[in-house]
Amino acid sequence: MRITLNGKATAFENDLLLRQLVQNFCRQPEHVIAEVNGEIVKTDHWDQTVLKEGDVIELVGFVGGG
Amino acid sequence: MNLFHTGLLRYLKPEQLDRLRQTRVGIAGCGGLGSNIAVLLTRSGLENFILLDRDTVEASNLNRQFFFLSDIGRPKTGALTQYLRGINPEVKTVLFQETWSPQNPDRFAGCDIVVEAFDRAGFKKSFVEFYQSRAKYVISGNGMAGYQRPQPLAVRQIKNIFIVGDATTDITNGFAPFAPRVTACAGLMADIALSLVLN
Repeated sequence: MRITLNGKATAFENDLLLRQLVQNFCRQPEHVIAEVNGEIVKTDHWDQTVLKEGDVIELVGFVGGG
Repeated sequence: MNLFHTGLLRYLKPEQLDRLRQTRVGIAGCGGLGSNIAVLLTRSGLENFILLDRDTVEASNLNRQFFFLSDIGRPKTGALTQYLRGINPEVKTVLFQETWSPQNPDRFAGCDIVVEAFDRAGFKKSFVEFYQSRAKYVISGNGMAGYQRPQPLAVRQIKNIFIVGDATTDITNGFAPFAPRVTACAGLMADIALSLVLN
């Protein structure tokens, strides 16, 4: 399965949940929002979101300061 | 129409000023970003705000937040209201001196624009997730600490969400906040709000 992750083509051998992707790629998932094909997917739905061929995913990590 | 409005009409058409005066902006966090954004938007003609911040002013805030020595110990929301009204006496604020939580009643219902200006990353994430489906527009600050050849401040748009900052300089990870960069980020965020109202 090939997806685009933060602008880069990325391939995976197995099916993947959004939560697994976030946990593999982000040091602090509790600070990350996930956009799948232009829509924000809330954290509560990460376990039900199965990634599909061609998905375009942006993971945006927040940092402290305001 | 007061003297401040008369001055603004040098730069704005009457219908633009009307639109600005009717817009309601929610500001979540009245620290370095939120206090400066409120002042910038007030100068731009907005006068309807909901301000939420749990804190009182501390000495360590004065290096970047729109407060003064004599404000130390005052709730930020109240002190800020005083300064906004010093610019435009018709500014109306609704104040919540409390911690934001998605479990609390929605304090920003009815806002045209909500601004996320918290300092903690966990709050930023929860707030953006909560308001992306509830607010017309969300403007969020993400990375504006440090000095000296910093990362550029950028705007990332996801549909109705604008995330502004360098996404890198973390106050919990080696970067202290300083006025030049914090106010630069506040300026960018306020500019987005202004353009959303006027365009």
